[in-house]
Parts: sequence; structure tokens; C-alpha cells
Amino acid sequence: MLRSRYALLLGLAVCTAVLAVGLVVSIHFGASRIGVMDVLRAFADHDGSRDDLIVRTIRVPRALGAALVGACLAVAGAIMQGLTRNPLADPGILGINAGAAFAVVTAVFVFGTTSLSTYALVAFVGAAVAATLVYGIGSVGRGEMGPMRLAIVGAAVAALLSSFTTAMLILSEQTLDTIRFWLAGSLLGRDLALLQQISPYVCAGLLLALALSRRITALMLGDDVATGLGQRTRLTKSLAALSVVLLAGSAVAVAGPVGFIGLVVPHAVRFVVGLDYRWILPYSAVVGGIVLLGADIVSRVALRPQEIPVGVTTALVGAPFFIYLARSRARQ
Amino acid sequence: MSSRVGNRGRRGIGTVSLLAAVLLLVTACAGGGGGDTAGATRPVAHDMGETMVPDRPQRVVALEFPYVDMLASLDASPVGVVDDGDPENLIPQVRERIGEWQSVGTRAEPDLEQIANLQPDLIIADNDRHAGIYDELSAIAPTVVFTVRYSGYQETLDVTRKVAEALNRTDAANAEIDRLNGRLDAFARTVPEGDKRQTLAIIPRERGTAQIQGKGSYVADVLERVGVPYAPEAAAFPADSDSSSVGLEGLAEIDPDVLFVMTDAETTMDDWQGSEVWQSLRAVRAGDVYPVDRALWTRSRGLVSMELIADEGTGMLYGRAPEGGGAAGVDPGTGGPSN
Amino acid sequence: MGRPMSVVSRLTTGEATLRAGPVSLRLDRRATLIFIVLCLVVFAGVVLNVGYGPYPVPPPAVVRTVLGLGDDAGQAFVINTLRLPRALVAVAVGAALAVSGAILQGLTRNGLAAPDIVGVNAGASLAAVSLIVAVPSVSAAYLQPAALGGAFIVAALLYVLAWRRDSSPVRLVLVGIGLGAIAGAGTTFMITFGEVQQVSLALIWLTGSVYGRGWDELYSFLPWLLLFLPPALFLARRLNALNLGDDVAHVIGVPVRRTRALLLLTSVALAGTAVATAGTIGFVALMAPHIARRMVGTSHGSLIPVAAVTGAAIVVGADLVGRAVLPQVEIPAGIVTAILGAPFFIYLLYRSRNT
Repeated sequence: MLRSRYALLLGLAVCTAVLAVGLVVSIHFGASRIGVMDVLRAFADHDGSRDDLIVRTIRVPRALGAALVGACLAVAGAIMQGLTRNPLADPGILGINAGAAFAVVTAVFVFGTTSLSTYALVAFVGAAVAATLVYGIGSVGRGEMGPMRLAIVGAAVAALLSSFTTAMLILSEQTLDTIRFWLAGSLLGRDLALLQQISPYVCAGLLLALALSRRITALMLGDDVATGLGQRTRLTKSLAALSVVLLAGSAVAVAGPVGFIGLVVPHAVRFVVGLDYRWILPYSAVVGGIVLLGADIVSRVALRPQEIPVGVTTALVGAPFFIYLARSRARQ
Repeated sequence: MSSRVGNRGRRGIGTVSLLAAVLLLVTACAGGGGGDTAGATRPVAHDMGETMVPDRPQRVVALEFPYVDMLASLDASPVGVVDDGDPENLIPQVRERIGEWQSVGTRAEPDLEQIANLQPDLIIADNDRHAGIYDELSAIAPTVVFTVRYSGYQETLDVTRKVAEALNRTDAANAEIDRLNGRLDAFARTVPEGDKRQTLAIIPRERGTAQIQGKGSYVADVLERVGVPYAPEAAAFPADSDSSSVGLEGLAEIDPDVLFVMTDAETTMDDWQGSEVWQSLRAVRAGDVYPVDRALWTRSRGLVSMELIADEGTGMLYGRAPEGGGAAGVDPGTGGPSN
Repeated sequence: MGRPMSVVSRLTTGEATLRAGPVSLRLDRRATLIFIVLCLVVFAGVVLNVGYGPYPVPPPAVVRTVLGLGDDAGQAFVINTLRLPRALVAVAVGAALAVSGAILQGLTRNGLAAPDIVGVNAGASLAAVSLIVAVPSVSAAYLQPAALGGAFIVAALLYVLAWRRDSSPVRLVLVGIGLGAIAGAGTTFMITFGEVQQVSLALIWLTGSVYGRGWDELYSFLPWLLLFLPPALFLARRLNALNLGDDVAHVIGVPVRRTRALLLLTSVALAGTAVATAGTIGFVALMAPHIARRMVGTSHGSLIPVAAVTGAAIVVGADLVGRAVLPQVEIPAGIVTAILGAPFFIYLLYRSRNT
């Protein structure tokens, strides 16, 4: 575990450098072969060639999108874990993805919209509603929100919503055909306009999260401790929940349902930087970006020329980790 | 185990024997459905074996769009059709020719009771979709099963002949196929000698994503039949597979000269227009992007739609105004209404 | 199970509920009464289900037709060929799922455990969906063993990962959720890459539906049901002992590990084959045992048969509702059970304080 402030800063710098390399690697890979030098040249001067256009309008937005979505998911997951004192909290587990999917499929099925920017808006709303629902149901009743409870409410709400989703998909084969790649979670075809559209929410969410990081650390120690430190815990919780909705909602709006990043990354980060959210959050953001970039590259390369939806890749990596966590926790 | 069965309480034995009696009766009745059509029958071979079909089936139910198209080209009017809840799913030219029909549900889950109520004497089902309910369908009426997936020009003619055989209209089918071939040859003659523009048909999915209709796909095959050159690079993708989705970048890599974009209410290319890479595509710069109707170009897959695709495709490409909607098959002299 | 027996098993069609005969003798009077009442409910459900459709048939006529006493050939055909086998499949599947859930809940001492929650159904789904999507030409006959195989693989993993050394119910459920997520990712992969018509079929199947199920499907499911229901009933008392704790069970003379493995096997086999027959009809395995427990208490001797009948009633009812809601299209029974089951699930959670 990194102890000193300098070591932590240095670590963060190293991670950022890795992220930068990841971005370049991601931009390098694609359907057409474009050399690394050509990639770099595309930034230096816009010669308007096809390769230049591809790098600037397709690959860069995709790489940035992956980094951004990964950062959002990881930070949202870290906050959720802190807020609920539940190591298994993750936007995917908590039904947010199912809510977004339900909303998008409804929009396509009922209104026939196919524009990705409409998807984004609708997904955002769906995610927010589902999150509120799961969190609300999870916190009623007696006692504290145990790890079981929230995960299980999430599973139940997700099961309910996805059965509605499936019902619509069964009724319309056209809707199914239109939407199924989005439903699996993918970064294909995301462009700068879409990123611009959601960037205000992402920025707001990230800033809010960072501003709350000290308070979240105190909350981790228990409501009483936080209150004793002079915090208004209710306000902190509400604001933190708001930032989760902003971040997870933006992520699902851009990439569709991508699970397990928000679960895995904060744990890995905590292993290195300890329990202070002032460090956990920035680290989570950078490492989350790296992980999703990596998953996206794997998704593109594994079955060339076809793409695996990135949501499938993250689930295949993340679910075993979830199992590992569940096992080690129960042993304690 | 058997001793335990013997040890059942009196209630148990009673129920079991009652149930047994019920079941015996039920299974006895189950076989004798609506199959008792008067008159002669003849065997028809199909994907699931051989079925005795009435000599001249009058009440036909078709469970997939291509079969409806094929029936229309034979001037047979099905009494029941699956239209997935919306008549618009069938192309207008087919609708016009088959006249009134009753909807019997969706292609994935046809309404068995509605079908039974129509008292059909022939059901045409699809191997990919309906193999699981073949027994139920057969109990309702003689059922023949064919395959239309992965079909191209030749397969479509073959399946049309099989459908015609089930209907006992082989002569009409041959005449119609001859007529169609004549028309296709005529379209082929409109392809200019020197024109080597490579065409490609795609289905847009969402922004920047498209499903490529590879070489060997239905559309590619039909276009090639009338002499339209189809993008050879597209052959890299599995023929007619839904998995051949590419991003704009992949499309730019193929960069065909002409693009047929298959659209419907839910698939539009609106999202693409703004992209610089899209604008840089050869077809876009040359103004050779043609939106075409997805229901016609990929879903109907019979003789009626094939003629329309060839007509529309060559018309768009080589500047000849496509002939009016009703053109297909209303040609005087061949296959007029036969009932 | 020898030849003559299998004939008998074919004849006792579907009435999983009535297979409880030998056990019901041991039930107390209240449980017996409830069991009989529920059987009547299932019977009424089947009659209503069979009577409902584009051609409504009044209940007396349904009974007459099923007994072969009807004189309307068209009606007899619709009822005996299309509706009755479907309703009986619903009964059988409901019963199997409910018993599977009851055993799993008993085994894990966790009211929230059910084959669909712990990923057993997801494993069966992945296997079946892969088959439907990747090998469309394959006969439907392979669906059953494939789904069963998938269910067993998940169960084996569950056993190894979460249960071999000690049986913490929380861990079992969480590991199950994780396994379910992995299988779910595989299913998503299949759904993304398959041909759309296969995917459409796979989705219907995934949601759980008894659409188009005929005598064939019933007959291929029944042997499994008849093979695994008796052990379930037989082991019910041992399950009670296990619930007193491993040590107590051991002292009473119950072979703990073997019994547990057998019970798990039974539960998974019932769920796996039910899923293979009608897809993943969700929440039945969760709801039915709870409802049953409310009525007859926690002793598994009476709980299991009562849960079976309850499950049968739920699925038959869900199928009826699913067909009745929209005019042209039918809603798969699995969606109806999810709409009922998810709130029920959350209610359970709300009531259980120490999870």
C-alpha cells in the first residue's frame, strides 16, 4: 500500500501516463491499418485525408469515450461502495443498466427513435429512475442496508425491468434487430458530438464526487462518526447519490449497459491506496479509464473483423472477480 | 420403485387410473384433427420429410413473408398470413395480389388456434422458425416446411417451385419463372458496358454502424443476377449474417462506389449525414447513395420482390425511371388470375 | 426405472401435484386439506386455461371434451391438441420449479435462494440459447439435455466455489449471482451475434413460455419429473433434520454430505429440465415455497407437496393471464410471473430484517 503523499501522487502520475499510452494504442487499432506515426501525424496537421478523418472523427472519440465511461463507472462504483458500506455495489448490479436498457427499448419500440443522442437522453433518465427505485427500496425496512439487501433488490428490479424489455423485443423483431448491439454495451460509433452532449453531466458528477470525497471517507466510518465530525450526513448522502446518478447515467448513455467496471476498479484501487476517498476517487477515475480502454481494445481485436460488445468482455472479466469477492467476504 | 407405486393410498390409485383413462382418450383423439379433407391427396417432399397434401389446396396459410410473396407470384391467395401484427410488414405489391387475408399472429409465434379456425388444407411453415411447432401445425393441417434463410436467386426459384408443387401449380410457377427471367435479362441489358461501379447494400443499425450485406447475401445475389457488379471486398464478411456489423471505419475500408441503404421506420441513416467520414465515402461524394425499403429488399424474398428489386436497383443505378409499383407480374399474358 | 414403470409414468401425466399421494398420508390434516384445496385450484385453473381462447369453451364442456364425451370435433381438436397439453406442461413445470425452489431454500436455510437467483437457470439458458442460436438446425430434442447440462455445470461450480467447506447462505447466493452474470454475458454474446430469427426464438424461450408446447414436450419432461419428485418427497424429512444444523442432523443419523448432494442434484435437475421445457419462467421457484410456507409451515414433508401444487397453480394462472391481456399477441407466462414475482421478492426482503 502506498503511504506517503508523494508516493500517491507519483502513482497517480504513472497511472495517467498508462492511460495516455492506452489512448494511443486504442487509436492505433481499427478496421483500417493506420500506423502509430500516422496517428500522431493526424494530430499534428489535418491534411483532410481519409486516415486523418478516421483518426479524428472515429477513433479519438471512441478512445476518449472509453476512458470517460470507464472513469464514470469506476467513480460511481467507488461512491456507491462507500455510501452503502457495501463492497459489492456496482451500477450494473444495482439495476441501473437494466433501467437504462428498459428506457431505451421503450423509446425505440413506442416512438421508433434510433438516434444515438436520443438513446443517451432516454438511457440517462431510465438509469436515474432505476437507481432511485433500487436505492429507495433497499433503504426502507429495518436495519442498515446490508450488502445482500442492495444487491438482491438490484437483482430483483433488474429481473423485472429486463422481463419488460424482453417482452417488447419479442413483440417486435425489428426493434430487437435495431437495438441488440446497444443492449450488450458497446463503444462502436460513438462520436464527439455525443461526448460533448454528456460532458457537462460527467464534469458535474466528477466535481461533486471529488468535493464530497472527505465526507465520504468519514461516512465510511459510520453515520455516528460522520455526525460527530459535524457533518450533515443526510445532505452528504443525497449529494453523493446525485453524483452517482450523473456519472452512471452518463456512462450508460454513452456506452449502453457495461457492468463490473464499477465493482472491480475501486477494489483494486483500495488495495493500493487505502481507504481515503480523496485518493480512491481520482485513482478510480484513471484506472477505470485504463480498464475500459483495455476491454474495448480486446473486444475489437479478439474476433476481428467483428466486434464483441464491450459489455460482454467486462462481464467475463468482472464476474469472476465478483465471485472472488463474495467468497472472501463471507469467509471473514 | 414399483413397490412404492403399489403402496399408494386409495386416493392415489383412484386419481392415477382416472388420469390414465383420460390420457388414453386424449391421445386417441389427438391424432384426428382437421386433416380429413375430402378428395385425393398426393405426397409432397419438404424439409421435414414427406406429407400428404390435398390435390388442389384451396385454403393455404403461410407463416413467413417469403412464402406469402411466392404465393402471390403464383396468384394464390392465402387465407391466413403472419404479418407480425402489422399488414405493412408485407410489401404493397404482394398485399395487392393476395387480396384479403386474416392475420394469424407473429412469425415467431403464430396463433395456432386462429390457424385451426381458418380450417386450412395446407400450411407452409419455415424450418428456422417453426420446426418446434411442426407437430401442432401438422395436427391442424398438412404442413410443408421449407428454408429461406441464406437464400439467393437460385434458392428462391427452387423454393418457389417447391411451394408451387405443394399447391399443384408447377406449370404456373415455371411460366412465372420464365417470365421473371425474361424481365431480369431485360434489366441486365440496361447495365452499361463500361460501368464498373461496385455496389454494396447495407442496413444501418445505429450511428456509424451498419450491417453489411456480404457477397452471397440475397441482395448481392439478385443484383449480380442482373449484372450489377457487387463489391468484392464485402466478400470478407460472412454471407448474409447478422454478425457482419461494421462501423463507419469498416465501411470506409470497403468504400464501394454505390450504396444501397436499406431503411424502414426504425432504421434510418439520419445519424450518419453529419459525419465527415461518411461524407468522404466514394458513394456519398458521387451522389450514389440510394435509400431502399428494407421490407422489399430483405424481408420479402420471393419472385414478386425479386423483380421489384432488380427493377428498382438497375433503375436507380442507370438512370432509368423505375417502373410503377404494380408492375411486377401484372404483365398481361402470363399467369393471370387463375381462380 | 424399468419399462412397465415408464408406461405408468406416461399415463400419470403432468399431475405432479398428485404424485404426492404416498407422502400425503403422513401429512397432518390441515396440510392435507390445503393440499386438496390447492389441487382443486389447479384443476380449476387448468379448466379455465383450457377453456379460454379465441373459441371460449365453458368449463363443463371442457371437462366433457377432455373425457372424450364431447360431440364437437373442432372443439375437441382445439382443446385436446392445442390447449390441454400446454396447460399440463404449465402444471408440470410449475410444480418442478416450486419443488426445486423449496429444496434450495431449505438446503441453504435462505428464503431468498431460488434456482433463478443463484444462476442455475442462467446456466441452463446459456446452454439452450447457444444451441438455438449457434446450431439452429439441431433438433429440439437436444434442448433438454443441453439445458440440463448447463444447469449442472453452474450447480457444480456453485458447490465447489461456495459450499464445499462450509455452507454460508449469503455466500451461496452472492456466488450464484456472479455465476449468473457470467452465464448472462455469454447469453448476451449469443443474442448479439445470432441471426435475428433465431435470437427472437431464443428470447421467447428465455422469458419462459409454454407457447406451442404439445404432448411431445410433456412426455419428454414427465420422466424427469417422475424421476426426481419422489426423491424430493422422500428426502423431505432429512431436509428437516438438516435444518436443525449439521451437527444435530449428524447425531440423528442423517448422512449430511450425501443427503445434501442428493438434494442439490434433485433441485438442479428439476429446475434444469423445467427450464429446458418451458424456458426460464422466473420467480416461481421463489414465490411458491414462500406461499406454501405461509399455509403449512416449515416442515418439508408437507411443504414440498403444497409448494408443488402452488407452483403449478401460479404457472397455469400466469399462462392464462398472458394469453388474455392482449388480443393478438400473447405475453409469455414468464413475464407475468416476473411482474408478480419481483414485487413479492422485494416484499420478502423488506420483511427479512437481518440480511
